[in-house]
Amino acid sequence: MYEPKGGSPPPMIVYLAMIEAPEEKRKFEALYERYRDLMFYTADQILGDTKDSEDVVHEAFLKIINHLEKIGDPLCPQTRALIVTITENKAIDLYRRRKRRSMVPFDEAYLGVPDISVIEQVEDGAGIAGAIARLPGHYREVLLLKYAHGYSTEEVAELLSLSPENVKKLIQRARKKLEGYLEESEV
Amino acid sequence: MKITEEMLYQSAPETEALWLAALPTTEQVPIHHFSPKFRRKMRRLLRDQRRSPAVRQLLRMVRHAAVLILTVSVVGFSCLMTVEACREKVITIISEVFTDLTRFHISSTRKGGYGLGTITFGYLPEGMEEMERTTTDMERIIYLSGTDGIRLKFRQQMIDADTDMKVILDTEDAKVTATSIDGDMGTLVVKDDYTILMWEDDRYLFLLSGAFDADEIIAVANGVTIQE
Repeated sequence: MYEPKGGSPPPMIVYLAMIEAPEEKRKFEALYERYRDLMFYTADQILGDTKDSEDVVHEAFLKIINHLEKIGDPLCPQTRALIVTITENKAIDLYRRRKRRSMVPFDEAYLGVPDISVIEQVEDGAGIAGAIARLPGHYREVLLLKYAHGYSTEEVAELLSLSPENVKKLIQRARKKLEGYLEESEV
Repeated sequence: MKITEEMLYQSAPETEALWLAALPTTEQVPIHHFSPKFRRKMRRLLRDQRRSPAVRQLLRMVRHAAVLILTVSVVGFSCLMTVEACREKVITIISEVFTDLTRFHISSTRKGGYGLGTITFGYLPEGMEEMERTTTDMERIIYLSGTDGIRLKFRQQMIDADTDMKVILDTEDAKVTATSIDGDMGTLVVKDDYTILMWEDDRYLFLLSGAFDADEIIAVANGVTIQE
């Protein structure tokens, strides 16, 4: 990363990070080779546009570079989940900017991967786990990053380019939505 | 049923497994033939990561000589100040323009220790409110959000003699123009429907970004006041 004179913490805004450790460079290459098609698929499912989807993939890789230290083995499921989450988040953001839906509040409509018709097939008996999987993308993302990956609110905010306050609000709303899902399933 | 933290910690790993299982496997994901433009951008990114920082620096200087546009901006100058005071107040910004990004090197000869002051937004888009701010000795970041969820991010960075700062902006296919914010020089980057405005006075660098048109971002910037 960039080093300001005097040794004080880097105060700059860096869109591209320099990867210095050889193992991190190899990790990034491995991530690129393994996940670029899945990332494109993820973005394209949401945006339905090749150019936009490629832009999202590029932006997602820039985000990944800045958080390489958070990524473990490129082959493990957690890494896969993190890569898809970052890409999905970028795609949803672009989708929102493009559409600016006013009829249905954005965070009520399902937007994410896989398609809602696939996710609704998730076993009903899965209880809370199944209900979380059926949440719209932004809710699911914050819950999985915080409660499955163990990131702090601030780290989740960094990964998803949100403010910590927004992350807390999303978690709050996600919980309410989950309680609603579970009440419906009990009826 | 009330959802507790414990329930979420217990269920989230299972959710992730369910969610990943619903996604196509590596073998099922269709192979996408990325465009030449994307491959070019990623080749640059990958090449940059493979090199040591020293080699990167040297190659940057040699490779970009043909496309390098060197702009040296001397700003924060007031004709009422003495020469010595002017030297202390000068921020230097050197811009390097590449095919897909622009890199700004920011430094100053001004002595620090003057703090971030108190900030006031004289104008905000309708419905926009401050949601969160984080402040350190050198930097302040403020997040604002409107009722439609559209966000604005504001960053104020102290620039003094100890600062050697770089800002990189994605300017590929973007419209980049110079602008003036309350008499100070600024750079406006508009890409699709997203705008980034970077400007500075003689003490701070400011960045304002969001999914707004340029006029709106400029209006917000012009309304920013810093009181010591």
